[in-house]
Amino acid sequence: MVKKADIILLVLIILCGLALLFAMLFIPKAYGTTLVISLDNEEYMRVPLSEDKVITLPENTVVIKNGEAFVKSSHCPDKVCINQGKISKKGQTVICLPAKAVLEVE
Amino acid sequence: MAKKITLYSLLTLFALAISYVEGLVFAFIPFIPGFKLGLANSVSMLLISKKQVRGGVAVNFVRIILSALLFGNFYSFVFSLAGGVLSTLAVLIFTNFKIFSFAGVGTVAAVCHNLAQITAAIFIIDTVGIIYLLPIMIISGAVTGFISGILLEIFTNKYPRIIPE
Repeated sequence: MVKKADIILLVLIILCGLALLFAMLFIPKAYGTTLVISLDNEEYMRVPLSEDKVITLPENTVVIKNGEAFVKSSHCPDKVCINQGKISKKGQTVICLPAKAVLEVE
Repeated sequence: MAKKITLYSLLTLFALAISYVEGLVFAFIPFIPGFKLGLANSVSMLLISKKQVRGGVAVNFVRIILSALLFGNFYSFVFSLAGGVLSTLAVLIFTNFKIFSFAGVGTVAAVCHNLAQITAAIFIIDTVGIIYLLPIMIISGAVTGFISGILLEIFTNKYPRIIPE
């Protein structure tokens, strides 16, 4: 039947899995270098995060300042994109659904 | 010889059928693509534990090839083959450690199977993003491997002479 070593092995592997899970959830991601702006699923422009800039899109105004990007103003009614805050780390996104605009850091 | 060929053919068919049925039964489980207990591997685990190493390896690989031809495609074949190679190796190595029963050997085999599949997926789909599945694949592999090992243990206690020596 099941032996002590089996159970120890099972517990050890599950603990490894859990440790990996927590590591993935809590280790901060690296800072990105470029902001990729897509409109309606197509890449619209790429801008480096290194220099401060104000970008005017059809529906939104995007500001890059101190290596962070955020939506400053938007014509959309709900302002969810503004409330998503500043992004600067790889893989972070701000999405404005009404304008079909996606900002992603790479 | 003829006896062995018949036995291995039957076992291969059994493994093939059980892995197909398992795929249907567990299709509802979300977040873990292709979730299975891995009962097909128990067949080869049993043979290898009875020192019929060549038979055990053959049953596993014939089953993988047949399964791809009947139900799968090229990609599913690559995934199962990657998983099959590593899990069979794990069984071959860990069967020799007498401190483990089928539950322990099955646990290692299933985790190895899942690790190989994730690695294959990273190369085929060309995204490192799948690495986020890693923790859940390790944990689910350990649990499913343990369960299928216990089932094999119960089965062989009930039918100890199912594989002729």
